[in-house]
Amino acid sequence: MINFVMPKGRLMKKAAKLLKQIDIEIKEPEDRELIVRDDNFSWIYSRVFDVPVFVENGIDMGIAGSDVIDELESDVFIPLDLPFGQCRLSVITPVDRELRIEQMNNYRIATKFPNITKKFFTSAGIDVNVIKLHGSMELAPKTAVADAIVDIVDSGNTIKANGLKEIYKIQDVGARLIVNRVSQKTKFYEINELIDQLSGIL
Amino acid sequence: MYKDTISNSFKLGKAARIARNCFYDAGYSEIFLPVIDKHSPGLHGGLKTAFNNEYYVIKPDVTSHLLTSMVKDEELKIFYVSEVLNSLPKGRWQIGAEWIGGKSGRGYKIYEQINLIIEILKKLKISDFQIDIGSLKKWEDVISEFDLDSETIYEAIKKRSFSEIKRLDIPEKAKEKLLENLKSRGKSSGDELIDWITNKINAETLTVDFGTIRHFDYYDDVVLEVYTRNHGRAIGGGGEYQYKSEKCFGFALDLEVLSGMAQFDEKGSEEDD
Repeated sequence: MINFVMPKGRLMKKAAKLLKQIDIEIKEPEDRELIVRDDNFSWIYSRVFDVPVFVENGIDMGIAGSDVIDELESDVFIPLDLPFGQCRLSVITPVDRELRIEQMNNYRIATKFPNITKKFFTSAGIDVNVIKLHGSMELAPKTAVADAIVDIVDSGNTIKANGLKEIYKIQDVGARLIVNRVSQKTKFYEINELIDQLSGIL
Repeated sequence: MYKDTISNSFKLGKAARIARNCFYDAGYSEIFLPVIDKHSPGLHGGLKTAFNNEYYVIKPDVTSHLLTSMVKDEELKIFYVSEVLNSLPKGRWQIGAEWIGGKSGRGYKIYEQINLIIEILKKLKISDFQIDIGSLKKWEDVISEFDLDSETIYEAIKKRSFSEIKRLDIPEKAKEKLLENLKSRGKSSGDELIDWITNKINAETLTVDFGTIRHFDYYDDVVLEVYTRNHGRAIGGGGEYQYKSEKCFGFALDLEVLSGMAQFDEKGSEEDD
């Protein structure tokens, strides 16, 4: 039995599609169900940001975004890059301001990713004030709470619609298969078989 | 002050006492290193701080602290019970041992310390533990055979990233060997030293797993990791390192986790002594 934590939302649908290709059917949760069991798996449904936390602390495997894994500095194995969830983490400013990264000393940056943001600006030698928000990043520059934001950009339509523009890509982002470090040992063969099967279709 | 500090302390004390007895019986002496020491490049972990224009480290990693504190060459078989900080003000209590120098062979040093780990865990009545033994040399062999960039390879294998290994711009044969190492797990290894140790210990609890990589950069060959099925993180680990021209070996166990898992009898631990 493998305990597998899935991120609720868009990533889950794509993960389900991928696992179906190796004949693994994810049972979607009904109503407010949080755990669904079948013969071989216990499927646990969690918020995207909590997936690496569950896996780091004892759940066997999971699927999470590389942005979240990096932000939390999760101590997990990351055997496979998965072919979905591709986007980028970028510095975004109001469209009417011509700004370069080097000019952002003492700026206020709103983000869901304070660790990655601090590291990025520190490595660039720029001192910024990072404001942690949990969602609706676009509000921060609109309300003058922040001068810029660091956020996920996919098509770019949302930021455009909110009068913002992407000025610098910090890193590419994508979905990852992650494995608990102890489970990799205690369920070595089951986990390796699953990795091999997935690897074969990527 | 953290919640339940006093009751946690009693539990830590009981577990530490059992472990101390095992160490003393095996001829190890207890050491007490200073809580705070001047910063030096050889010190790992700890909480860095500054005072009067000098840099200090509070409660660094014990092995690196010990090695930077040694002033003369001598055989040391020592153990410690210590809190260790890792960049944060909240530390973890550890028990550990180091065997530095002396005439005993490296295999015997590792063999004795694995036996010590087994004995401590058994005396704490933790039955469900496993010890994995690996070899960094196995990876170094591939790196030097194909003249690979060590940092890139370790970055990929620490994460056990099959995707990163497959993406590397290195010969296919090198990739095959790296992936083969990651998937190698069992009771024997083809490595003379490791097979000697596993045969001599001959315990179900000991497994060879070349995917076992420890984070400290001073380890240079044999490494081990201790874990149980019921705890999602490793409960201990250790490895072989070089001090001057001597091969040394040391390990540490997470005393907080052990004290939570241990089954103490009513009177304390006297019956286990």
